[in-house]
Amino acid sequence: MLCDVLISVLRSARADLNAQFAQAKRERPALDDAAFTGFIEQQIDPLARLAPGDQAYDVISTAWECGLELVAQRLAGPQARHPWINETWKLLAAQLAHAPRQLIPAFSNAAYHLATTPGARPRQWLDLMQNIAQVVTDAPALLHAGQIAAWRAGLAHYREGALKLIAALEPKIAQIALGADSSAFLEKVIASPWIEKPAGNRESLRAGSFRGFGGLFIVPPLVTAVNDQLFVRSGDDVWLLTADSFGATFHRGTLAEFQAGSGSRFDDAPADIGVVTSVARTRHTVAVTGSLTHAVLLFAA
Amino acid sequence: MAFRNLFQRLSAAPTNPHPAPVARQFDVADLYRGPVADGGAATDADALPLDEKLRQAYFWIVNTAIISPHYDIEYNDGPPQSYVLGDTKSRLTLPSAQSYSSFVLLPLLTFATRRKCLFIGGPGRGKTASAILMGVLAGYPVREVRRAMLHGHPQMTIADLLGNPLPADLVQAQNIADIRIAWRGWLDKRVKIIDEYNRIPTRTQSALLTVMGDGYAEMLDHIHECPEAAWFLTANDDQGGGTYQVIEALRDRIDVIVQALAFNPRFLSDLITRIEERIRPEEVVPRQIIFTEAEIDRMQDEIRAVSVPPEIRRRIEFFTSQFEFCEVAGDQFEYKTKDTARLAGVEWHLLTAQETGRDRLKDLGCQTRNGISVRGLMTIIHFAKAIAYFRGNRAVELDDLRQILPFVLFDKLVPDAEAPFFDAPGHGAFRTDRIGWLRRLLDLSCAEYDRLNLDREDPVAELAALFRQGLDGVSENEVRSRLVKIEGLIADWAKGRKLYGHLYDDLLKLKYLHQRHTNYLRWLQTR
Repeated sequence: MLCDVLISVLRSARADLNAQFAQAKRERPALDDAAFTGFIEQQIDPLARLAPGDQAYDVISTAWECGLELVAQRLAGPQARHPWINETWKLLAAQLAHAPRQLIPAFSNAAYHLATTPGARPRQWLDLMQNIAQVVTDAPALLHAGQIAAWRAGLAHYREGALKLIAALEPKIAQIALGADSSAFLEKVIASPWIEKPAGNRESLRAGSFRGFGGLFIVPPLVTAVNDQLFVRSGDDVWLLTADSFGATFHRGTLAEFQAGSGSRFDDAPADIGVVTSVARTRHTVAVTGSLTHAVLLFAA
Repeated sequence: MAFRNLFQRLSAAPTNPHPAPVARQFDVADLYRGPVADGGAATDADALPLDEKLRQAYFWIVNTAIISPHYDIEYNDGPPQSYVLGDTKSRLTLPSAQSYSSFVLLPLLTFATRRKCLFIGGPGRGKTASAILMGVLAGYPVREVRRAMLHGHPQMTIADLLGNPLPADLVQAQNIADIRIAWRGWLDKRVKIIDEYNRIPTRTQSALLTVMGDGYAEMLDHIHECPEAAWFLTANDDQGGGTYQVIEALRDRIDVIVQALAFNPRFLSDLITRIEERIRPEEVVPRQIIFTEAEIDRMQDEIRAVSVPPEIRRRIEFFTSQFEFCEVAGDQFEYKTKDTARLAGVEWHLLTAQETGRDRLKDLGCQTRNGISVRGLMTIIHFAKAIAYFRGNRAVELDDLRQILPFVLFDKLVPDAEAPFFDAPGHGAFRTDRIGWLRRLLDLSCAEYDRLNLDREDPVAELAALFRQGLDGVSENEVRSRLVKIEGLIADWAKGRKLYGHLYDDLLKLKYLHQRHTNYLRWLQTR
């Protein structure tokens, strides 16, 4: 049963909402009527219930508009390919209802990135966001904290940007966004991408895997370093690899970028990777590949 | 209604992605960009590079505002798929790289460079609607754009065009300077639209010419300076039709001509939707693609900064030099031009009848009745830079030149329909398709340029490069040596070679270099 506020807005703006649905349907014929009905019941209605009186219309119209795009792409609603956008709307409903125009599209997109980036941890991001929401109420601060939390949840390529945001945020909020239990942790995070150096010759992280197991690499990869960045090649495909203690992400690169790089030496590789096939070194990281693994081993330099 | 319209959606991905620089940066703000169009909190449209913003504007118009775009500006980054169809062996090409619709791109480049564009084509094909869109992109409300648009009509007076003297001042003024003028609002707009300009009476056209050409309006000794603006004119018929003949000077001020192509009825369902939902594209232009005055200024600077590499410049030179030369038009070498013949008022056929010796099929100059003016050349360079900028490049490529040149020379290079080229098998269509003809003309010119191996063997360019280094400190011996070289080169060319346009210009350049070196030599001797 839909709440009264939602029913009232649907009734008053019926013509426009129908026109929007019709237009969305033309643009994306996959938009399913039943799925969108389910989305209204499961996602929009809870938001409408939490919307402040004067913002109900804004909340519903924004949710409707974003919902059309998300449901049509099967990113939200009952037929969603992953649960994370639905979860975000559910767990952060109070915040979304408070600043719909700013937060609904932004957090939906953030959940999408976390859900579709291999190795990222959307559950951790949502947990951190719920913690943040207990102490932060204004939308800009929530957005900034959300970006830091996304880095913490595995989007390593946002490290530089997140560090700048940390410097601008209250230390307490930054600490919560990072899930840090002490200010010492915050200092370590800022100091180096690798918070702890494992004992012995153990790597800090293994990034990537065989395509047959859901990874990226069709053959064991090779690495090079260009301008303090790591590039990985497997077959004809090239990626830029960003990594730190929180995770590793791959971004499409070009063969020219890979070929512009240089190799290095590393004498301490673990035996299980077979013959070392390539080594690349940046300021903070040593990347090693071996003949027996589809992963790139990352060591704190 | 506060609903953001799905109709206003812009391309989320880079519109023309280029290989990223080696040291890549990630923007944490990208976290909040994705499948859902953002509400403004996470985006900063102002931070978009202006070329990307221009592309966003283009793609919004092509994908949303225009129902059936024709991709007639073709780019390829590999061999395109090509099919030959029909009895006349019509070729349909499927380009392998991002290609564009001239009806949208040319006006947009005109907008970006603040130049002048003429839309031609039959009534009801969207000429005026496209011009209005350009006004909206400049930040004017739709209503204001419509009100500021001039509609050409046979009774249009100079007062209708420019404004009126205030009646009270006309009665009371003791001298002409006291008469104030109520200038028309359109004069101050940064996008000026003149609908059906070929219906304006000739006398009024002359007043319009002053505004278009010199950027000011004059009435009763009062001058009104107009801001730099992009001009959009429409005409149902470009060939001098309409109520009045368009004066040549006015036609010459127009930089590019773009034809509104026919509507493809396969897109009728989109048209029906537009009617049913009362969608007027000009009323829903997304604010992210609206340019401020400062942005257009900056964009013009950035476009000017796009470089024309020497190898492209040489091809423009070579192409241009094909057309002005007319061997029989003058006795003195410098006056052997089509312009000399035109000024003398000689019948064209009498002139061509005197042509001897040259292969009139091979000589590209025989295909035209005139040459390319300096204004035309400047326009080619402006638009070549603009299209390169639009494509995200910082240097003009040959393809940019190939695509833009026909639209600039459409009305500037007049074909000689009696030329043997047009009678050759398969060339009949070039009599009516000027864009295709001009593009073919450039292709033939480039083929000849390659055949002559001018990229590698160009003695005139070598001499000119030496000269550009300056004559200061050049010894008498060196100057004499260069003079001998110039004379030797001319003597060499004089041995039985036919005279073609490009040789003619090379010879004039050699004469120039010879003269500069001779003067320098004389100065050295009298020091």
